[in-house]
Amino acid sequence: VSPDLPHIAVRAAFGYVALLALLRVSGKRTVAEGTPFDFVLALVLGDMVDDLLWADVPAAGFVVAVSALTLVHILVSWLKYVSPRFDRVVSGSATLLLSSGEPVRRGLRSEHVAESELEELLRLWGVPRERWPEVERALLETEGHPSLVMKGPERPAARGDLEGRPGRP
Amino acid sequence: VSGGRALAALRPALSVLTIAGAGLAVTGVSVLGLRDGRCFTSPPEQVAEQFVRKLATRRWGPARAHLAPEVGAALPEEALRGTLLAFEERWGAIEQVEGRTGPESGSGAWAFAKVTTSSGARRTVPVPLLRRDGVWRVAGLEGLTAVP
Repeated sequence: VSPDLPHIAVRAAFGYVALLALLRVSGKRTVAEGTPFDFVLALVLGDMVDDLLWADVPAAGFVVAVSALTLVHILVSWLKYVSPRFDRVVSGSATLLLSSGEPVRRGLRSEHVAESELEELLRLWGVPRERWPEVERALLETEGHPSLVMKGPERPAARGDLEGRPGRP
Repeated sequence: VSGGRALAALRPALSVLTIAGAGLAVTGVSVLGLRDGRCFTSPPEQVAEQFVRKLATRRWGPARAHLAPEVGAALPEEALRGTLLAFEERWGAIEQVEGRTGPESGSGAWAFAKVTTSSGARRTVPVPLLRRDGVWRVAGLEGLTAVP
């Protein structure tokens, strides 16, 4: 048995506790429903644990690096919360992929989404191609998930629809 | 931003600092107080492996960061380059490195870097180390120049 095994176990437990505590205070978004950057951050943190586990870096270096990343992440999240403009710069905004049942070429091109992929995304929402005319807007949200706004149900105009509207004759 | 909101936003940051402080305290007590030289700090063979790997890939700055302060002052980048070139002329370029444990006593240790070169040679490079501020540092390059 390698004499290093107990050390590996201690380092693994240390890394686990440190990461658990830091992820707990950094908010739930880092892992679930986060932006692509949240996902990258989670990957970077995972790689740091690997370095700790095999003693590539001293534990103090691990603690400082992981804490610094978490602090910056919290700061950026807070700035996004207080400043919508900063949020747009950092997170971007939703991209329109389908408008009034028609694919929006510019949006598809900017997100590198082929029309076949758009079909697939909408199928996951239970909207096959023949029902595209019922879609008011389909957007690709900043987290990478599609969202749909369906057209409202159509009905004949009724007396009273325009009551209270300015400019009523 | 009101004082209350700023304080609420500051709370997670303070929690991170508290966790970082606790983590550093644990490692500090272990490394400096209990003289741990293998668990919360990179063990000698790991330092030797990383040092030789950084030398082999000509990352002089990161390689020099592994040197003990008193040794680093006497070994500029040119000295590292000269030592590596002399080794490569004799054995070929280093392609694989694997750290192995060696004898250890107090604040001194030897570790071995088993290297495989482009010529197919397999050599064991002894690396002397010194413990400085709880961290193992490379104490010299004589092992690299005197590879049998």
